Amino acid sequence: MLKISNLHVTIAGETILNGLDLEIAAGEVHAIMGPNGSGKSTLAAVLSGREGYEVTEGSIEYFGEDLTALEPEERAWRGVFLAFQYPVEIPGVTNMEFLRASVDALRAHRGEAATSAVDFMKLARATCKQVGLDTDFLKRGVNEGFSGGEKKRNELLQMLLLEPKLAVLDETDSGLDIDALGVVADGVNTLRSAERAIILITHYQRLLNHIVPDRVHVLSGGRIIRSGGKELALELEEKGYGWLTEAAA
Amino acid sequence: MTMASTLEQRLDEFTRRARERSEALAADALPALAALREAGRKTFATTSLPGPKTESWKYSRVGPLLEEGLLDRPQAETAVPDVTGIESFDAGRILIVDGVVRDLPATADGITVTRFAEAGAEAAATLGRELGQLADMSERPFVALNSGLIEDGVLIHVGPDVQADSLELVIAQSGDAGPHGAHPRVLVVLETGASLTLLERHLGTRAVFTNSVIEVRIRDEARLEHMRLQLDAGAGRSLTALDVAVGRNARYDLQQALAGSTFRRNEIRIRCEAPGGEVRVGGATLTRNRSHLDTQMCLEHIAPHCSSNQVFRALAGERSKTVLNGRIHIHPGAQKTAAELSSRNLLLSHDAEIDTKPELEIYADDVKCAHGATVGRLDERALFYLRSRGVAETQARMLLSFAFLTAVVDAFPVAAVRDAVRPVLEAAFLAPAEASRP
Repeated sequence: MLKISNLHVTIAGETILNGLDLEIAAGEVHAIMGPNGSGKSTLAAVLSGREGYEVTEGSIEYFGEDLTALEPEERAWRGVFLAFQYPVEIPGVTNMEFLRASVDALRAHRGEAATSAVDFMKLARATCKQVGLDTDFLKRGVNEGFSGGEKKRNELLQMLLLEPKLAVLDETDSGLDIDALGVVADGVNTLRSAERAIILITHYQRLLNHIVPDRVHVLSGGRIIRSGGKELALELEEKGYGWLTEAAA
Repeated sequence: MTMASTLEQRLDEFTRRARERSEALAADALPALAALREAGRKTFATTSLPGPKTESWKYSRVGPLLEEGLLDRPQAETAVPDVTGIESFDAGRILIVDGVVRDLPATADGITVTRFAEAGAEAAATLGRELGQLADMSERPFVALNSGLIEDGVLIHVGPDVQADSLELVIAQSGDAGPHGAHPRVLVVLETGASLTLLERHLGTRAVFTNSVIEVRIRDEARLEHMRLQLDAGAGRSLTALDVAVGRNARYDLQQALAGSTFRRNEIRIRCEAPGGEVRVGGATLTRNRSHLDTQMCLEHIAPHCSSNQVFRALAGERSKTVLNGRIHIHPGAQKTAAELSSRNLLLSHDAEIDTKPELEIYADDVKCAHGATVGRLDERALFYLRSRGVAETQARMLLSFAFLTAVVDAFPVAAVRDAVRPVLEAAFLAPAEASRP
């Protein structure tokens, strides 16, 4: 589904990703771990098409298509979803309005009719319940005045409604208490399917107790320096990153 | 006039022709009108038209008002344009076309809506008392011009404690109007304890000069909900003076949705004359292409214990220009005044211009006064967030821009009007930019 080859990315002239290779097949869950500043969030940003990130070398193929040539909305239409580390507050646009615009945009791209207001309301309410958000959050401005945990639940809500093919979760677990972490993990687990791939970007092993990954990668200095199975995460938890980053240096 | 003539020559020419037109008017039977016309003519003759050095006209040049034909009388028999109202807003309609009163609604007991020319004894007495009392002519030559050329107008009078049905005031151009100058005049008087909802709509895109003066007297305990829609862009030259006096414990609510045109300027003066007055003003504005929109706001807090809250939100695209001068003047003795003004503006293009100027003059020491103005661009992070969820860029820009206007549009007191405003603004926002002329 996703094939990243020798990816080099710079921000304002500074190289952040430095020859990253990663291949993910449908049905797989990959965890990307690594110390601060290793380029984890840059990878998420590049996959979603954020401006200001320049791919200077290498490629990102998504279903055989050059992902870097697509606008952010075009990526979303093709099933790419990024759960933001810092979801943006948009006062004046209600969450409901936002969710419906998103869902209808994706439906339109698939050649499906827009949802009826009543059907969408039902779906949105049910999904709110699933992620543990009061339905009042639908009437509020997008993320406006939400707590950190509520913002993350709102990301999950969007992910469940948009049913992406490739979901990238950028530190969705950070700042969550253990209950919220369980809710997020349950949500992600319900999305796991043979057609879908998930990338979990995280600092901590604890999320991986709830969402068991197929592969774990360690990102350092803008490259993947070690890949392994789920047991690699446990090893990292025990030993930290030092033994790997020193070995790689 | 040729293009080669200097501004000064054009101003002189305009003044001369205005005097000629005023002097050519037949003597008026109504003493109030005759007196006002005389005063207007005299003031106009002694007041210079605003030039480049006139501070309050710094961002609005009079050029577009001085063009050939814009002082001419409108043609006598013109077609009444389509002024289809707002769905499910049921209101008696006052229709003024090319400055001529064309239609008036039937009204219930206690409410008078009449042409000045057909005023009965009581209405004539009200005119004698009130007409020209609020629209101060000094330093305002176009108010003087309106007065000097007055032939007719509309009086809306709501008697004591009468809760009137909604009225709609439509100031329109005829569909076939050639260049002319129209000078509509409206006087609204709400007696003690009266209430009224008034929707004012300006229609027309032709190169016509519409110089309106609206005076509003809200007596003690009375309440006026005033909605103003000026949503036609185009070649119109529109200048509207609105002068409001708010009495004891009276309430005035003005909510506006405005688009720019070749020239549009609204001069609004609201006087809190007695304690307990409450004023709320909103303005949601959109200018595009080369249009111009100038709001000159002046809140005079004369009496103590009054409050005013003003919220302006402006979007300016292409090469358009939006001006807001927000003056709050707190007179000595106006203690315990609470006055707020917020002006937030979004530039949608690098070539657009927004001039927003706070002006506070405070001569009382126990007041709460807040004034904030910002000019910015759309939040790129929010734009990316929406796009990452599949919302196409154009739609994302619109959602964010309208999120910005929402605070004002939502303040419209009548749901039907609020619901009608939004799609009009959206369509105006989404319309492709005009090809810019060389």
